[in-house]
Amino acid sequence: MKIILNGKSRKVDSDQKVNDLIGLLKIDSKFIAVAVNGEFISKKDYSKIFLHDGDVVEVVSPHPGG
Amino acid sequence: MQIYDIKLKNNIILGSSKYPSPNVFLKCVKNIKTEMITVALRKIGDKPEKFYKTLAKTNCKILPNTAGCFNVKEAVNTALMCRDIFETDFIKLEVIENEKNLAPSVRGTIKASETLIKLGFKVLPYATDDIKFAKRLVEVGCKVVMPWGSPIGTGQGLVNTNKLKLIRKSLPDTTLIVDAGIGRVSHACQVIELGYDGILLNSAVALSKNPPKFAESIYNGVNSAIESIKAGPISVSKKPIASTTSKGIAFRK
Repeated sequence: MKIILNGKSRKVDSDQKVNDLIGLLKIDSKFIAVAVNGEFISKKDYSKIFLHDGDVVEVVSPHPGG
Repeated sequence: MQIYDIKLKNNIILGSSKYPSPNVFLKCVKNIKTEMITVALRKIGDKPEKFYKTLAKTNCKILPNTAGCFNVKEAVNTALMCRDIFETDFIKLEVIENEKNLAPSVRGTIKASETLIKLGFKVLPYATDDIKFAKRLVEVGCKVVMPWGSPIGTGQGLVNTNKLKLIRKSLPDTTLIVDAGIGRVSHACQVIELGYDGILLNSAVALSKNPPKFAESIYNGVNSAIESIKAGPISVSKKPIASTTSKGIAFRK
């Protein structure tokens, strides 16, 4: 299936959960936060939330800001 | 200054953006002696942990922002993501209405403040100098309000001191911080002289020719202003009052 990850199309296996995607990205979940289809997903829910075809996923991290 | 349940010794909150390098940023943090730094969230780059580690070196409290949000839903979800990473309830709330002058949305900021306070956040909302806007933010539960001096990044200083004075007078128990528009040390001093609790600045320091030196100057200026207020400046008089006595003037009887 295809998801939109940070604005770019990306193929992922079906039955993937948010934590599977984080694993694919090889990043420490400590430094990131996630929203799926505009809704925040808590770290404790990464292993519970399944991704679906067409989902829009945002993965963000700290950045300089004023 | 009092920020909800914590008291900061320093009256300056510093933004973390636009510095020439992480090292320069760290020097500025040291020189301005801030205890609180604003940060943002953006889509992950190559090394998401890099900036996080720079922040850890500052030993400052983190004030995450919702910069770039144009509606309540974006701002609330961004705040939730900030809390997930930084494990803090503090949020610098920005809900922008006008992309050209980066003015805050009155309705959006009030609604998002209300929602976030119900979710347990300690909201520091970016506002204009409009008294009704500031009062509504306090009514929905904000203990801190941050009116602009002038639009973000302009360095114009305080364009309407009368409006800022009115907010101070009307909200004596609210922590008031001027958030945007500071460009010079004199602007920061003026904020303190208006009876405000503190300033939040970023571009003025980061984009100056010598950011660490400018940071130090801001610290010194703000603290001079605080000390001078404690020393009790004279009242403003509409009439001129001669400094030198008129008694004993030569050529007069």
